[in-house]
Amino acid sequence: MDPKKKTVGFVPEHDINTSDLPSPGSSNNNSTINSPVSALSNTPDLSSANTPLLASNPGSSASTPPASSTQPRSINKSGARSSYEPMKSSYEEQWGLADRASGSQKAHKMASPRDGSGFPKDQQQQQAGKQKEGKGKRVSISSPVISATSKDAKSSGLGIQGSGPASAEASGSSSPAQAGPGGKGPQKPSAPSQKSMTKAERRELQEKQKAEKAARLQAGLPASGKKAAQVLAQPNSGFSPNPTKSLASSFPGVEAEKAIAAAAESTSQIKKREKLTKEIGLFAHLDPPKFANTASAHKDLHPAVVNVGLQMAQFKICGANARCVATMSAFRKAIQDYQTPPNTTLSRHMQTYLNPHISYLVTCRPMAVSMGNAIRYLKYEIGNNLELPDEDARALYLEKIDNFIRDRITMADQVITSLGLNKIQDGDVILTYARSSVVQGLLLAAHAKGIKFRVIVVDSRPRFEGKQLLRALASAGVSCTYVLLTAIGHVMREVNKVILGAHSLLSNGALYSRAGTAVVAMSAHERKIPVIVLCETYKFSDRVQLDSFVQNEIGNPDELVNDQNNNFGHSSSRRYDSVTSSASSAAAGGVLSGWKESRDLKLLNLLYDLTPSEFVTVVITEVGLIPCTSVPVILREYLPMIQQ
Amino acid sequence: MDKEFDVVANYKTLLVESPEISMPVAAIESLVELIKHSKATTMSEFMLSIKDASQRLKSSVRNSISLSAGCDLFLRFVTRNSHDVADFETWKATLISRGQSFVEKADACRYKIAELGVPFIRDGSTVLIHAHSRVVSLLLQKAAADHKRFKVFVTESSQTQGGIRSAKVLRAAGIPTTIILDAAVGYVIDKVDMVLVGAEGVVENGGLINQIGSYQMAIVAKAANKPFYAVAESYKFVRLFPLNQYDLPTYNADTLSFQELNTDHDAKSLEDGTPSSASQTALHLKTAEDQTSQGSNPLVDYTPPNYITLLFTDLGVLTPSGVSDELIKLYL
Repeated sequence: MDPKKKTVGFVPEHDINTSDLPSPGSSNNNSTINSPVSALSNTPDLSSANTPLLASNPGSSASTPPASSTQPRSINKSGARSSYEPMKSSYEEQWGLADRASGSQKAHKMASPRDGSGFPKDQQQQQAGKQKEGKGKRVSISSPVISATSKDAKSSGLGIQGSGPASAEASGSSSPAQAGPGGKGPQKPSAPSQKSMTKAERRELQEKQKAEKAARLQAGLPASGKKAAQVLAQPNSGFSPNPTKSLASSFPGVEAEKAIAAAAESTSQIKKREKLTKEIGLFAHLDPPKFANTASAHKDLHPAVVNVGLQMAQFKICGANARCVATMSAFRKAIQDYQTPPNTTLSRHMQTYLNPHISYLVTCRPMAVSMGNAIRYLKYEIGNNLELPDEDARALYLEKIDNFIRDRITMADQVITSLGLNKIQDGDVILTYARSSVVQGLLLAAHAKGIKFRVIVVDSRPRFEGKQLLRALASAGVSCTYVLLTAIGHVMREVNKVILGAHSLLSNGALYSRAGTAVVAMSAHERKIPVIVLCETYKFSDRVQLDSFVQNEIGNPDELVNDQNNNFGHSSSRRYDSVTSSASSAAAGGVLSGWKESRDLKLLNLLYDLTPSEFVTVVITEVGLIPCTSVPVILREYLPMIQQ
Repeated sequence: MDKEFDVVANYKTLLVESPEISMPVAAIESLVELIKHSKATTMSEFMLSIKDASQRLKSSVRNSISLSAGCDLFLRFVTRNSHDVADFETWKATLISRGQSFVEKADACRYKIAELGVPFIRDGSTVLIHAHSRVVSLLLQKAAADHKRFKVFVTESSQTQGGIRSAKVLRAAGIPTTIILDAAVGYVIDKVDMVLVGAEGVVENGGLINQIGSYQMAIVAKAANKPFYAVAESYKFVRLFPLNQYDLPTYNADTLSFQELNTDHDAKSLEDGTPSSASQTALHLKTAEDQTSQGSNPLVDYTPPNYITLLFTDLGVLTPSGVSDELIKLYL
């Protein structure tokens, strides 16, 4: 495998970007900031680093108008690719980076669903035209739609849609039914919300929807209105010269134009509703997966924080350290640019100023333990220095942030690396799972030190984070083996050390880390292979958790569906792709592609799991090697000392 | 003093003079002696000389684990107090007096442990011990003095013959003692109610570094569901975290390495075609190697914490994870 040929990581690169970026190194930095150090060096000018990226798209589409119609299609083919778009567009929208000409294009992209049901060409144009008509309205229309991704999806979604979707309990397919080709479009502006309808009206609506469903079935479309809309909006159908016509002919007595328009407008809406109905009972207490949005970001937020939030929502900044460094650096910039409002002082107002930033970050992705600890530290420092004059306070906070990143992350990693080096000997076979920035640092350091060892990188769907590690190790010349988690039993026989990263260590000694870690640790424990966890003390949590259910993070279930898109971004394995996927390519996205319509099928993409403390031999921290049962001791004895 | 004070010689004479003194205490005592003789005029020179001396001590013996526990403890004590130094000479005097009081108190440690441990030995029980450990012997003597009736199995521990020494001490205290072969641990375990071992060092995770054979004893005890207690003074706690047997500082490539066959000899005997002479040569080789293989055998092994029921220390009766707690408190 030639690492240089691969695109980067689990975020498949946008075609345009890939071609623009000459070396893997630079693409690495641009697409995913995963190493804390690189995040550290990058984050101070994250926005500027990203500006070319952001600008490249609308720029190219604006300069070449014909391309604008094809480009979204290529985006929509791959679900993950489209995840690039909302960020750019919304970012530009928020801060007026893009020119007006490309505005309609962006607006369309915003409305477009994340997971890849595309729009036929003429429909796009139609939409674009529509958006142009009401340019002033664009923001007000599109942003609430986006906001529906957040928790208040139910209420605001209903309000915007105007047509109360026939309540979810009606039938499995009832909620999307209103998206059917029944001329929802015209009805939309005047349609009252379902609550305000009388019984008779509701009844009428239901009858109507039933009729529409029957019509759809007759036309050979799926019963669910949403699916029908998807079929209508299939990216492939966009290639046919006039999809509208062909569809229209298959809809006796229904105007296809309207259907498509309605579908386009309601698809994103429905998706969000489905997110809610597709909850898995055991995990209903967890936040549903979140998507990049700026709608919950009101104008007072600092752009750096908004940027970081969006990048985290799209997993471009990923990993506990990188997220923490990015957050703190963004806050640093926010504090730097902060202007004290009248009648208050900086130190007294700072907390109130930061709070919306923090809650915005939470709407983007559930807070990492590392971030929580860092923010708590920052708040503690703010609360402790209320009497300082403005400029002194600002300088102090900036210094505290710098010190936190330096002492608790950068230096800590260096100490962990040097301690870890003592545990790697010649001839070792080290197994690691997914990717941790500290583990990567340690392995590279061990290699640089001249220790002869071999690494087995274990990876898993859907994120394939291990590839990034593999690339780094292979390009440094470390002898590597790459297997998937399913082969763990096979490779464990030759392993003599397991080194893992951590998202957090809990007070009962349990390790909270990327889903799959527990299996790796367990199978190592079973063979009496030492399991070494690398973890900075700032990731220690005073929480106690006994299983992975009580607290976890649900990722986007669509990641599990389309392995073609998420799978391999490099040429060598495309070969296999073409072989294996030829069977399923007809279904475009595999057997799971229709999971949302299947009433009994639910997908669960848990991001973390919990490894019991008895599976972990040692934790290497910056305060030394400790058993993981000593987490509370460190929290009790050590942390108060450095807090001072 | 005209010539440089020899810390290693001092340490060795200390051990010879008083057999009851344990290695970490002897190490601290000789380091205190070094301070007395130190002519260092600056802080850094002084620190350097102490560090250098402890390094020399550690490298002077083959099995440095409990020795380094003492050295590290003393160094930690010195550096911790080095921040608030008003006057160099008075500070040195404090160090000496504190060091000496530590050495004096070290003896009391064992008595405290013995007191804590005695309630665990019940009337009519049978105890299995390993080799010779001063603190274990003291505990058992104390129990006998408290009119507990119990019997002891002690492993011979062939390398040091420590078991024979233990048996003498225990029999003198009126405790019925049987010496068993090291290989007979599995045989007697069903007759035993508890296993008691001493320690060279107690590591960060509560595991144990002790005379070779302790680990297999712990495994057998665990398999037979018998409690396995370790007895150790707190100055034997070391900041080490071995991952397995081969991750100890005493380990080197020579330990239990496979002896290279004398190919000339073998080839010759094969050519002769006389199997009897070949086997005789092999036998002969073996006895010749016996002399050298003594050196390639490990002296200590590491018992992971999950085999240890409790540790009796002068800080109290601890679970293995409690050791880490104490070590973190001590070294932070």
